[in-house]
Amino acid sequence: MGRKTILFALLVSVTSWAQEVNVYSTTFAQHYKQDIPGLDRSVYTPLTQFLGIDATGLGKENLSLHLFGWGNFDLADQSRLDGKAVGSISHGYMRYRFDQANGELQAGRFAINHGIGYGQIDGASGRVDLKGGFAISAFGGRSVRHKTQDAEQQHDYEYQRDIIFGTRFSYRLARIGELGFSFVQDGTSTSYYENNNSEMPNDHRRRLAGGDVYIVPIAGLMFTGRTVFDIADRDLNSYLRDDHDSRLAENDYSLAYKFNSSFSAKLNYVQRNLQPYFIGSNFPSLFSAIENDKHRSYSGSVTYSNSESYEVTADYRHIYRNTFGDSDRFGAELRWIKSAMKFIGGAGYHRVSTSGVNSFDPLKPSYSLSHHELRAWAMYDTEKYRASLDSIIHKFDDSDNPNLNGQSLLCELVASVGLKPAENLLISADMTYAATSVAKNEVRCLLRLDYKFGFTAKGGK
Amino acid sequence: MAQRKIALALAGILALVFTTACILISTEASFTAVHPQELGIGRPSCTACHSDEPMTNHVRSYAEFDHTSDFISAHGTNAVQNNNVCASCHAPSFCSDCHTDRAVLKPALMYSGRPDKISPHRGDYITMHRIEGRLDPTACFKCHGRANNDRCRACHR
Repeated sequence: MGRKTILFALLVSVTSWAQEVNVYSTTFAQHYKQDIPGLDRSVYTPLTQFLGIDATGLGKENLSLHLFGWGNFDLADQSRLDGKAVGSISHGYMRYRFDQANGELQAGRFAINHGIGYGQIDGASGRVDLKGGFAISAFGGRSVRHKTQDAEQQHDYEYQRDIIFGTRFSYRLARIGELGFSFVQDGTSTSYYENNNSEMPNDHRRRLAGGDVYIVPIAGLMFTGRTVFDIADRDLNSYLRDDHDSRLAENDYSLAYKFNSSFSAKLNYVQRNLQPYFIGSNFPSLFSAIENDKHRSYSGSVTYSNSESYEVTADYRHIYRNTFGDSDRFGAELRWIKSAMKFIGGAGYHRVSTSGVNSFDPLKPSYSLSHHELRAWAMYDTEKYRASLDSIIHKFDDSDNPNLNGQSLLCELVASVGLKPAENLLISADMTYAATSVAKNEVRCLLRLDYKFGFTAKGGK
Repeated sequence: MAQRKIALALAGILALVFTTACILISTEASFTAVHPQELGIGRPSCTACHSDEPMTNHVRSYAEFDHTSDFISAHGTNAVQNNNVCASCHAPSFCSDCHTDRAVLKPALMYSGRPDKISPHRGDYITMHRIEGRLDPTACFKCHGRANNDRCRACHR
């Protein structure tokens, strides 16, 4: 915590050189009680502070600094596992942006999304466009480690590894599309996680290769997707035990077509083989790469929108999981916008049908997970104040489902009122009522203070 | 020792790539750093102001960035391929609200006063994740498989 504070203070002091500084600050004060059967009654009053700084023009116009982090302080009982006063720097990096070729260099703590996987690293990265439509990006560093519990309790801590690096190479053709090839490696040595249910330990090194594609063959038609392979050199005896398995971790492809400015449709196919897909997890006790499970989903949606006033989307998704069976989710959503009245509203209904899903619960061998989901919300936003209501209901078919603790109707209602005494200041209060399977009736209070400093009237947040 | 060798190899590769890239570097101007006009609340539709033509200094068209429901559900692809377009309107903290290795509040709570935003875990997610995780565990993995999983450890050990 001490080193982080010093580093944060140093980086903040750098912003004094900036030509333009934007500061975002959000303070949350919550109060709620939990009276869960079998546990002590607790009263929580956490105070949470988010702080973000974007400083541009640090000596040179194209040099910028970006900081974002949070601190949490419990004024009553401890609400988090890792302490009553904790904090984290989500990102803190310097970036130099070149005027030519979309060139960019950055160093510090930041998120990587160069093709395969997402990760937060302490390191450096760069990207540049090349002649002929090619582009290249690369990164290297160390995955950010978060020790949140005692090391003995957090026995999979070592799966946050020592070094990470990767690259993406792409080719882009105007009005046609883009092809990208990516590689990422996390860790230099074999890591084993011995699961009690496994016959032998598994090798969890993360070395992935894959490609992403974006093609627009004709105006309005878009084909996007990616394929990822696990390419680490592993002990095949402990890894590919099923002849039908492969190194393929993921296929995720979509085909979307805009018939006109109002009407569009989209199809999506996802295939994930859990063993290679989960193999790089730093949390193998939950995402077990030992499972030889397979996941497929087929989904489609149609959207009709009038950008001035409303959007209606109907969607369907079929999920197949070979160990549990098939399920379906379908429904529709409406978004209604009345700009002149500064009103936005929406409603949605979805049905999740799990008649093909098997139960492996030894306590109750047969129960249904099928349920209805209903959501309705409205927001009124003016220059002086904002008010909103949001409600969501889940109604389950089978009240004997042991996950529900006898509560087949789950609901949450959030009412929020905010005042804007100045252009960049919002003070709001939320009241939440929830009927859940854990707390039968729960009321939560939240106060929020949003402050933005130095914003120029450009772009969004 | 192995780490040092890999670090040296990586540095060598990066130097080689950098030298080659300097020769092959594009002469095109970079995409604009900041959108020149302020955008209002709600999902922006680029084609409400722009025609369906390629963006300046970019090969993609404005229409491809209309923030429809389809676009938002697949925003990850655009973040990989066109993060410079995203950055012209969104500050880095916009991504960090949800995508971080260690979150203090669930996104639905952070944006409880903004029901128009798509924020994960609205409602009783403690109950719902048991259902949804059984139907599709890969949906959990995208955010919690390698990051942001400290709260999961309370029960999943």
